[in-house]
Amino acid sequence: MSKHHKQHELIVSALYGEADEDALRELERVLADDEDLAREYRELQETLGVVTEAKLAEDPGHGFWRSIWPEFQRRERAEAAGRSKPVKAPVVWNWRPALQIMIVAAMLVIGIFIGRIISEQGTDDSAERYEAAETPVTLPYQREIDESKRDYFFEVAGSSLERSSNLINNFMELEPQEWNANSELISRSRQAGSDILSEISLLRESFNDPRFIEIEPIFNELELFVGEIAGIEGGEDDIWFEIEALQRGIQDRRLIDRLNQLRLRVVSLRDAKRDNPMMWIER
Amino acid sequence: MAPTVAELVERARNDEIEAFQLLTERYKRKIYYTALSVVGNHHDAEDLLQDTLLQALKSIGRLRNPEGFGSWVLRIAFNRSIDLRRRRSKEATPEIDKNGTEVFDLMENPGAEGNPERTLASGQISTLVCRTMDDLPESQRAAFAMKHIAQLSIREIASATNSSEATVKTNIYRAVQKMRKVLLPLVKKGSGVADEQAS
Repeated sequence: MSKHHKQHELIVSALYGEADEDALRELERVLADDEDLAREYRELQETLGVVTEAKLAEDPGHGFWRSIWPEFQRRERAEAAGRSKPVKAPVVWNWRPALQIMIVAAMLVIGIFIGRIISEQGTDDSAERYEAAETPVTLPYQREIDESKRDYFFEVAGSSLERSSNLINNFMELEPQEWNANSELISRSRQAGSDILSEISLLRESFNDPRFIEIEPIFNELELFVGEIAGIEGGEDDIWFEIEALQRGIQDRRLIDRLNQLRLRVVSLRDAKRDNPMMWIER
Repeated sequence: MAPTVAELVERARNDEIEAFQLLTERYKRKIYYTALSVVGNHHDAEDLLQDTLLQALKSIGRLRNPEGFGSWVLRIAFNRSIDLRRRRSKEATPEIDKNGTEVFDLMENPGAEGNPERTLASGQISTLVCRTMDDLPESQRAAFAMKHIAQLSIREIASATNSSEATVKTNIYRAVQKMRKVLLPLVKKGSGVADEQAS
């Protein structure tokens, strides 16, 4: 940890009255040796004085606090009633719709087969198709997620996580000072971050199934960090400070390890779905 | 003697709804103000408070450490609030409200009417602080607002946002620095005008 970081942490603890006696003594010593830092500390105190005067939030009043529990009970009852809706009657076997479905499915298979033959006869772009992307991040996933096609969803989730992992890995390998000097890198990472955010937002809508509860927290964190990376702007002299703080946050949370674990989990869910397509049928 | 949080959690897990009510009583303010810190309006904060409580009741059986109920429930509130804020910011159309325009005028020409009271009116300072907060990167804004609006300790913020105390301090430090750049020139100019008028 750099000397400045340590000093800034001390200052914040002291400003908010959360520093212990040892920390306060250390801060006093540091401020006595550094006139600029002492002036900065006084100005920060003054700033907090102004912020404290400003009324940032109003108390909603006794009526509100008293209504919380009755309102909670009302919502809980409404939700419980929703949960206990009668289960749909089991489908009675009927050969006619089954035959219709089989005919439609057969037509679809034939259609796809013919489509493939036609596209293969067209331009041979296979060499271009498999060309490595210029950047670690490919174009965003634009289509709406279809609940009935969860296998496709897992493909997309897997690729989105992979690209997030690439973005964050690249970000972690950078020296903060190097970042500020490279405007192309900033703009590419901002674009990649913003694409990934759009994807995550679409993917998130498919995360209502309780089986995905383990995935949600890491998506929240991912959004937070990717959002920060997408929000980095070049040109500020002290941008390195924000980058360093972000890198430390990513490290503290072991975000990369957890991202990789999640990718493995998504891949295994996708493969399980391939082996057993019935597993996603609502029960 | 009042029951401990761990005892209340154990009782709530055994479907004792009164125990969950007592937990709600203890944490409702922190949950509400945490949500308010992130979303910035009463209506959404109220909804988020209720959502958080419903989620907590559903998942309390999976809470590994009953003593950590407070951190856990604030983390639920924070995550849900961030999620809602993101959705709202995508829906929102940019517009400058009346207060915002006034604040920008104030920033460009503090004390333009020679009236320090106008420059330092507390309502305008609040608006200015809020707008400066909105311009902060998300992690700084959340940490700063949770400190000032929800009045959480640095440890509680770290736990709710699932980050380290060092990260929270760094975020708050950066936020206060930016506040200093915006607010101090105004305060100093305002008091300068006041001094001139007094003399």
